[in-house]
Amino acid sequence: MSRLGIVAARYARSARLVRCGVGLDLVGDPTGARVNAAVQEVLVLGRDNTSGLLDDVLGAAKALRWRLITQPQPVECNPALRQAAADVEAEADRLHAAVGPQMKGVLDELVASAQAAVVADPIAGDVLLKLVQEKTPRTCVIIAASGPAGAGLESWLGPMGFQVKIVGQLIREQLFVESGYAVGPPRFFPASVTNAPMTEKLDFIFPVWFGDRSLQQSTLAPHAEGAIVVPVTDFLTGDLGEPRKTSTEHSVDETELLPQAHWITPSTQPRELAPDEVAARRVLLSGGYSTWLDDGEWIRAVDPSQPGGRRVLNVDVKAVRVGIYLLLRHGETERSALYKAALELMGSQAAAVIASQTQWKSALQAQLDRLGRAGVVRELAAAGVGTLDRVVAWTEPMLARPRSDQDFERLLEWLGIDVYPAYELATALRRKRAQASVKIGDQLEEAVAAADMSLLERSGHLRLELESKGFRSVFATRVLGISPYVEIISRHETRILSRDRSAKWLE
Amino acid sequence: MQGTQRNSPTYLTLAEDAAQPALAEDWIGKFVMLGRMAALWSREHPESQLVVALSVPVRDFAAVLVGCGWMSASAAPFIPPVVDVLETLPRHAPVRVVTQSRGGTPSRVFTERFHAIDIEKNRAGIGWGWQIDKLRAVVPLKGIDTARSQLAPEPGVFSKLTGMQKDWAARLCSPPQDLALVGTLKALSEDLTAYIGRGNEREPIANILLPEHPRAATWSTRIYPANQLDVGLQSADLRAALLDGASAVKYLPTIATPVVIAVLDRSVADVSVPEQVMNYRNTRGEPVSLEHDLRWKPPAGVEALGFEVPL
Repeated sequence: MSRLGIVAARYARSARLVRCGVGLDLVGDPTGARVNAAVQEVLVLGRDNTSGLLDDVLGAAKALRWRLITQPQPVECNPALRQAAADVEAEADRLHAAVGPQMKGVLDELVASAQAAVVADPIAGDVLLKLVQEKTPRTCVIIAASGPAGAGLESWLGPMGFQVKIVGQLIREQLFVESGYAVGPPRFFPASVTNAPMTEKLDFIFPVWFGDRSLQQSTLAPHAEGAIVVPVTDFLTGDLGEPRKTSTEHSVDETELLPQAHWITPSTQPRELAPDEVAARRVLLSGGYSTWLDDGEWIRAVDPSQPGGRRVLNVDVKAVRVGIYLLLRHGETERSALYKAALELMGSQAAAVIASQTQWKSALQAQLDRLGRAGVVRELAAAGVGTLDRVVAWTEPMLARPRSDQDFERLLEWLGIDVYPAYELATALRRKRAQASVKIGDQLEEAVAAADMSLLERSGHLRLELESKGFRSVFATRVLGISPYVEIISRHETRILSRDRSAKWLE
Repeated sequence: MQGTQRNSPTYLTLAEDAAQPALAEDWIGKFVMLGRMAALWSREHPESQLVVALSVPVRDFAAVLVGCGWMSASAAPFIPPVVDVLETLPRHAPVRVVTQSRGGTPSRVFTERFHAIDIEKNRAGIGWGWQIDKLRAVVPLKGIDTARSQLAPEPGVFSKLTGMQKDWAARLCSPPQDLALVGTLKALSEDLTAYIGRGNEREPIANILLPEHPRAATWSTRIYPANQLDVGLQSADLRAALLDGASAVKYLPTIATPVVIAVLDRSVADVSVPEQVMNYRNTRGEPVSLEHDLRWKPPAGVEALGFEVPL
């Protein structure tokens, strides 16, 4: 299809889905319902336990539940499901001596339900197979909720000739087919699957016991004219015969039942930052890594759904979410490499720049030491400086200058430093840094364009090799969890990859 | 999927180049209309910034189509007759000239330095020297770094449809320079090679927008790569900014032009920029009804959010 044809198809399909709607194929599944109920029992009973004792068994239980929904292949082609059930058994076993009789009973039921779940083939798989067999493989696509789910479904349906893709892949490969069958509820998929669809028809197949059937609204929809609102039709199917045990006393919110990281409240009290420290959040990453993200302005990320040459983005650190693929380095950070590159580009002026920057930054630090952060903020506010939340960040040696011209001038005046040449030098440094950044961005873009995005989506992480010195090994990795707690760490630890097994239940 | 042939001769068309079949769809003309109506609204509300956020299934072409609409609403500059201009020019003054096409020689636009005028001999000393009656328009410039020359585009079906072909030479010679396109250079460059048309005729979009580039003798639209926007849109002449994609739209709060059109691609998984736009609208904006105040309804598949922010 020509590029124009593709664009026309996207508009037409979006309009069509708004007109005709999507189908929710709700599968009656007593075996899965039993697991679902058991997980909720453990969760509710264990709510008061903050020791973390139950973290692993809950992690395993949620992972099992997740796979029952997203990977309903027959048991014999479903090692992921069998593994999840075995993990539940193993973790529950480990706890046996440590818990009271009530929890023991609940855990026993959890194990029994897990064992039952790998005896008979998941009914949703049956329903899915019947649906796609009514079509020819060329006219439909099975849409998986995640890379691993895609690999699992592919191993089962691929040999039968059917295509299995995740949403990002569909867009990247510009795959236009008539029917899409998404394995999982709407909330497991990016909003674009309904709001900017690649298919003319779309069905979601998932168990009837899954509590949240809502479609993802587009962000602008609440106030926009022409808001995209896709109608929904429910179809009940599968084994609806057995009366369901309605545990209405505990209705646990779906967010709690999905695999998520456990964060321990930090024990340290909030305090003033020492010169070499920053406030940061811990972020869990695919591949068994984690990193610390400070509030520095932006970080590089990859969007695998985009065509090569447009995949590398600069994302506001505050906007980093679960699901985004970050670009990080082993060893030196991009920030420090960029700073060095910028100084190099300044040539003979480098020494003057370093001296000037050191002068105003140490003056600012001296004021912070003397008056404390609150005192400095107060005085700067009185002097007319606007972006007061960045005051401490401005002492950072590698940060060129405050973003606002006015704020920078007023800061220098308040510090009693001559605006000329400090202002010019800092601004020149910023410009050189921006230049260096664009160059690195281009190199990253090249490396990412050549890299295998399907592999990144399937495994969650990928190493890229770059030509440029100082940037050799770059790692693209999916964010699995972001800590709600801000902690104080050494500046040098930010954005460095470190080994971390905490995310083992999240992949 | 070949271009859908609808029996709607009123639809504007889009084509990838001069030869490929054109596509006729209602969203093409609607984006153009938005650019036009935004320009008209802005003239009536000089104290406000109009922001229109569009969410589209894919970003392609939306921004440049809105730009065509904006350009079609810009008034032609008034230029005095050629002789009047030449007589008042000081020696060495930099000028932009549009020439007549005569016989086999096509019309050209070029920038050069002016030397002298000899009315009796019908000669103007600009560059190599020209016969005065071969010049369609001359305009003094503020400065010139090197002399540039290019073929002058002729008005096509869109320009004629919108009335831009009147005073076409004046438009080329003293082009409006109040429009900025911000986005990924690669994506914008691809869009700028497209053609807009109607029925069987088509016209290069680049001839309507006249994008600035190093060898251009004349230009209307500044192109800014989004990844270099840290220092903001500099020129005070700018009246409209078209932000193409999240990498450009995230700078929305820093842009002070009277009109901003932000194009958001719904295919992109990351929703942080659309959320930022909603937040900006909720904290700083007053809603504007596009249907009532701009008399514009988005086409199927497109969401539009209009609001104004005090300038």
